[in-house]
Amino acid sequence: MTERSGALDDQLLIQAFARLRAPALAVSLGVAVGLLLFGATAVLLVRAMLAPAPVAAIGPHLSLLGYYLPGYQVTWLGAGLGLLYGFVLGGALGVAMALLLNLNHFLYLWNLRRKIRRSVILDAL
Amino acid sequence: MHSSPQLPNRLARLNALSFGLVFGLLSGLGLWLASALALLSGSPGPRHALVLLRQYFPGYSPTPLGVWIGFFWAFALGFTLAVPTAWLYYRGVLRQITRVMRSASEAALTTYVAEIHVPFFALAFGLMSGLGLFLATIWLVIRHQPDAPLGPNLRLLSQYLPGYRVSLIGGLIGFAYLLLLGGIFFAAVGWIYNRLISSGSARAADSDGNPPH
Repeated sequence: MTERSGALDDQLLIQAFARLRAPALAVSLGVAVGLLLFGATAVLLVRAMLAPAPVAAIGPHLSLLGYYLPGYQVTWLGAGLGLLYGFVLGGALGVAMALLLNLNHFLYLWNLRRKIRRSVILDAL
Repeated sequence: MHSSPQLPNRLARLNALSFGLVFGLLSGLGLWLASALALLSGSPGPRHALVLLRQYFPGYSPTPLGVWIGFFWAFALGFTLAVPTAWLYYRGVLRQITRVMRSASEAALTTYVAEIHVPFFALAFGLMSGLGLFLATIWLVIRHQPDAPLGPNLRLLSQYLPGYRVSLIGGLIGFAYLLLLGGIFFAAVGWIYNRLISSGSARAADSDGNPPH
């Protein structure tokens, strides 16, 4: 193995086992999920506003989310609430995902180091 | 050149399995939690909505046993979708490493903070979103009984995706839509994440007097 290929291997290992920063993933997923829920609500509201005849019930299926997100409904206020709920839920998902992936990598490397140490000791004996 | 040409593939496979486990676990937990809340609420509304998932998850229902069946199915589906997605992403990212960007050390292996490669991330997760909708559509088409309406609930997606319908062509249209929209969504996630970690490392570098990575 040349010095250069060894350095490239190290580079690969560093990238492959790089940690995710939980707060950053929480904010990025939170913003995206919040905007997604806001957008999904807003699309239905705008379509109802543009409809030639009055719409009896706007988004009856999307408003089922109100069972899980208290106060949420397909209105402009509900869209704002959906933005907040989406941020919180997306944020929680981001934190959980980053922590679990980091934990998984940590445990894998820890186990690998343990095995290597053990084999080194056994070889030395 | 790497010491072994297979090293990027092996590491991509390892990361894909790791991501699949985490994504599957979170999918399972998400459905378990939604089902448990529906069960505890006593209101029939959320239960009626969740029971539609039985189309995809045989045996699932928001009942004490059904929540565990739902956990299993959501885990299996999340894992199955996430492994090829993450493999595609990591393989793309790792195979393009052809030069040494930073000095490697034992400490760097556990402290280096990942940047998201936005194009690969958007492509891989956009593909996963598109494929997910395509498979959900085709599944309903295959299982359709002539005397029942075809996907009356999934069809509602046409409110957001004009032209989408529950048919083979509709599945392809849905795939194209979600490839694009999912790609945009995940590109935004990756872009915001990278901005946040680069501003964080710049602040850390300012306080340490070191250049940011």
